[in-house]
Amino acid sequence: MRERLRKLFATGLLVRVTNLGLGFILMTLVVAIGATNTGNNGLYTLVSVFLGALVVSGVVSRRNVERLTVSLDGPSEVFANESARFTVRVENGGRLARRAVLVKIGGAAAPLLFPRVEPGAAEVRGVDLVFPKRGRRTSESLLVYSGYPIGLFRKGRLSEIRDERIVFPALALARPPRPDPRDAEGGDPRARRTGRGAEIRNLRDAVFGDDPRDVHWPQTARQGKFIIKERGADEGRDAVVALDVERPRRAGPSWDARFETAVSEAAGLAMQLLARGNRVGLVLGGQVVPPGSGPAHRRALLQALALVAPSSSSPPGVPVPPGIRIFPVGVSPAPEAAA
Amino acid sequence: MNPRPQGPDGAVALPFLRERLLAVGSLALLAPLPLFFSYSVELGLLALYVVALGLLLRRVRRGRVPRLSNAFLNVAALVYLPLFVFDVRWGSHSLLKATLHLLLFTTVMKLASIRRERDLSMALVLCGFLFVASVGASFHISVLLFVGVFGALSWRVLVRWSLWRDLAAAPEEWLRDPRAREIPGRGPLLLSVTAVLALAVPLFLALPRLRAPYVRGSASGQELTTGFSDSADPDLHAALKRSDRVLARITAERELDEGDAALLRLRTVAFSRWDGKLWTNPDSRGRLFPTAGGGLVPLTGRRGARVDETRALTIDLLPLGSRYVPFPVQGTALRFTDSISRSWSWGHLERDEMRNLRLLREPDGTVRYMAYYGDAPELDLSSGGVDASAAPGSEVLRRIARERTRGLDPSREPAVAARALEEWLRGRSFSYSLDPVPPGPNQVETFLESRRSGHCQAFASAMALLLRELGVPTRFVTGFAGGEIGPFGRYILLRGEHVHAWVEVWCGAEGWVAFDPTPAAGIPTVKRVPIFSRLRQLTDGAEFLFDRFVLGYSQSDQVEMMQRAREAAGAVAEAARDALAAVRGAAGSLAAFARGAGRFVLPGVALLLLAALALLLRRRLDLYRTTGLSPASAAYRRLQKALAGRGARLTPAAAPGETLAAAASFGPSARAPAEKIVLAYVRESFSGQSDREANADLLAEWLAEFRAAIRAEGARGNPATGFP
Repeated sequence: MRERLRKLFATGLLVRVTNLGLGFILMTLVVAIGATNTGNNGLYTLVSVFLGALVVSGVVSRRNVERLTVSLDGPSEVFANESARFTVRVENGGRLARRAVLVKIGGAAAPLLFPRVEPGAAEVRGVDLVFPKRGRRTSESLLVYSGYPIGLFRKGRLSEIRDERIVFPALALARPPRPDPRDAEGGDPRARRTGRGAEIRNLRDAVFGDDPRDVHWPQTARQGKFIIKERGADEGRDAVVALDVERPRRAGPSWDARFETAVSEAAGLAMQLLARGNRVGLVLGGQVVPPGSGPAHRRALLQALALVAPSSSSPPGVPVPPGIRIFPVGVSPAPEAAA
Repeated sequence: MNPRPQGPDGAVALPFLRERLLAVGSLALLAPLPLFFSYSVELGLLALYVVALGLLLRRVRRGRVPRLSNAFLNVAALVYLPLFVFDVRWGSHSLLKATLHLLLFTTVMKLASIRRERDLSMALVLCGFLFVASVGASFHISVLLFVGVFGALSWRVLVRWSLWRDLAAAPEEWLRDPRAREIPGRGPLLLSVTAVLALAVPLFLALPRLRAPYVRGSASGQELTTGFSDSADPDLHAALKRSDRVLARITAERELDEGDAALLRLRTVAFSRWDGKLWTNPDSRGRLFPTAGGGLVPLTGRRGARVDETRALTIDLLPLGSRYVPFPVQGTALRFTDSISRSWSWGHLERDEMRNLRLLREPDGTVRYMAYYGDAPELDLSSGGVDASAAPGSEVLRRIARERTRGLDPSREPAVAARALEEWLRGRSFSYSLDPVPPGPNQVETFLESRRSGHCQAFASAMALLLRELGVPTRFVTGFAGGEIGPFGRYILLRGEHVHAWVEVWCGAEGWVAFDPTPAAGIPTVKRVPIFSRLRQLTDGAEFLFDRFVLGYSQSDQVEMMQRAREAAGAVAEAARDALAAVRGAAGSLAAFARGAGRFVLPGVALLLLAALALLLRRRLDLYRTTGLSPASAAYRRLQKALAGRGARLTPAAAPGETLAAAASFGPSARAPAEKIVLAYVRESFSGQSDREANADLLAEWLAEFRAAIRAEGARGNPATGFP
């Protein structure tokens, strides 16, 4: 029963009385005692005004944080230790303007100020966030709060935004990859034949037999006639980046830090190879990502590297077909060991 | 979190320090100003405070925040300590005043030595104390205006204060958006302050009162006196008559005018003893009359007198520093309101042998009572005491009295003798003047022989003493005469200028008869004031209401208010019951009619409801609804709907390519109009511009062509097969 009642009245509103609020309440109490003891109606006037201010402040402060919807949008690719531009959007679904709204993103020290959000409108602010670690983040906490009007109370709501995001490892490159001898043969290593790849090679007018699903609608809208997009075939040289994920038995935090560096190097190497038109795959202990190319495959590579964890057991050997170049990346030795 | 930067003296650099100092400084400047007007702080000290604070704020404004060292503060405190003791003992002679001086000193020192966050908070608290002290010590209506102004200023300061605290970790946010510096904005500020003040009114009325209201604090050296004490200085009225202070307010059942001068003569105190300088009364206890339960207090010896409720004056007597209660000379009885007679000390009125009425305690708030009156003064046969006839024993007065009543027998015809003296004093040989009486003995003789100019008190004293020299008992009476008609005619204001003195003469069988020897120019009249003076009346009215209902608001007022609220609620409930009965009556008639046709009504209503529900559901479930869409988008949606109706697997979310492929499967005659519609939709959706070639009529035409084509085909379309 108590739980039912709690849920019935639960509004999700966080309320905190500030130091100023406590001082104000104390002063009201003191003046009220003085008024009662002396019968001075001037002091009664003050007590009435103070109590009125408390009530008005409480009502206005509650209203100021109601019906506010906050969302956080960010880029599809976020790399660890790199500033990523996110947008915070605060939408006011109420009938009155909201003032002095502050938004604090989980972990950040400084809040964002939205001085005024008109009724029915939204305010958008850009904020640079830095994620120190790669990996999966399932939610972001956003605290929307305000001390408006006079700071006696601070009220707000904590929103958990379900935003599954994978923070990719920072891209680092300790050693440049070996140039492919076949590059010396000259010419564009990319095939010229059209196919069903992700890359758009050409735009042309529609002709008989073209698939309507290949219509490039933005160009169609601009030009007033049906324009078809030609895609290129995914073709290139195959390469595999093999990351050593085996964790030594007595590895400590120092090894973990060097492992992260290795992951960053593997990611940097994979991206470089992709940029050169190669089809790149990954071997991460027992996990294998077959070689491929294109934006979707790129994301798959980064995702795999974002989520890779060291393994305490020796990974099973993964046979790599012949003709595929292998780029091994390992954890660098400890500085004292190197010395 | 990065540590805050520190200044050269090691103090932490506070964010928004300049802004916050200016804000709290403005409050500190305004807060103590009413203390001067309530005589709580001397002008010189207040000026010193304002100057010091002003210089401090000027430095802050220029970006140079002063920061007194701890050593300086310690020395200042040590120096001030003996000053404080001196202030209490020999300076202001008041611990309260000395504490106020200390508060001012502390505020300045605190603002000049801000180092930490809590110093700023303490400065804010000090401003709050100054504000409380100012309001608590003020007894003028203008304090309400001060509360409103200070409230608005402090609301604005606190809004920004709160925001500055929240932005301490990100001060750049304050400068980033100019709208931040507009907070709170005029509209919200005005609305909030108005709401606070509006809410404060019922709270003020409802807060419990456990003590009698403390309404007055006289300034030192300034005693409030109105001549209605147990003695009357002969020159008192000269000072009183120069005052425009409102002393009483009279409301009548009818509109009063200049012809009601006789009715508006109020008798307050009659004196019988003259000691050569002052008029006094012998110490005596009078008869007590209960006032509780709204009982009548007769003004003469007649008990059980009937009164006419239509012939009553409501008198609101402001606190005069006196226990005496004025009543009309034509009055028959008084009735006090219940609110004043709740306690025993307030529940009785004392009437002495001089027919003076006194409360048992000096009221410290406005006293309201009803005074019933007749057409003429009642016969007053009260025994005036032997002092009333005690002659002063002045040769000069005896000679003058005999000269002026030569040929008359005052012992047999005292009224005739009194009339003669009254006419002589009101004649041309005397003039009315408010000039102060020069000090010295035998002032009455000097007035009659040489000065021949004075105010009402001099004339009344002279006539009373002259008659006593002739052996006629007299009384010296003070009270009110005349009045100022209020702006709306229903009430009369009595000010200091309406205080008056006259004489009562014992005329045997006629009892005590009133005579007024003051020349006509000196007798206050009932008058309407010029239009500009009416503004003063309005302010005086406001002051009166403030004195009565704010400063003097008490527990008995609360009880009376609750009783009135209960009566009003009862009246409203009764009116609601009557209205409900009327509605029921009407509903009964309607029900009778409905019963006759009731067989058809219920099914009909049910059918209507079902039909409305079905229509609503159909509209809501329509996937392809076009409400609110542009013509091109609506035509595209209808195209999809038509295709779906023919079996194509299309939803509103289908891509234009799929839609076009489905349309193409119905043949070239269907494809052509479909292409046009899709092209128009795509142009609008992707370019954001409407297709100029495709207006609503054309779109409708293409849609009709398409529908006709698919009807003609009559075959289910295959998935997209590309362009023909």
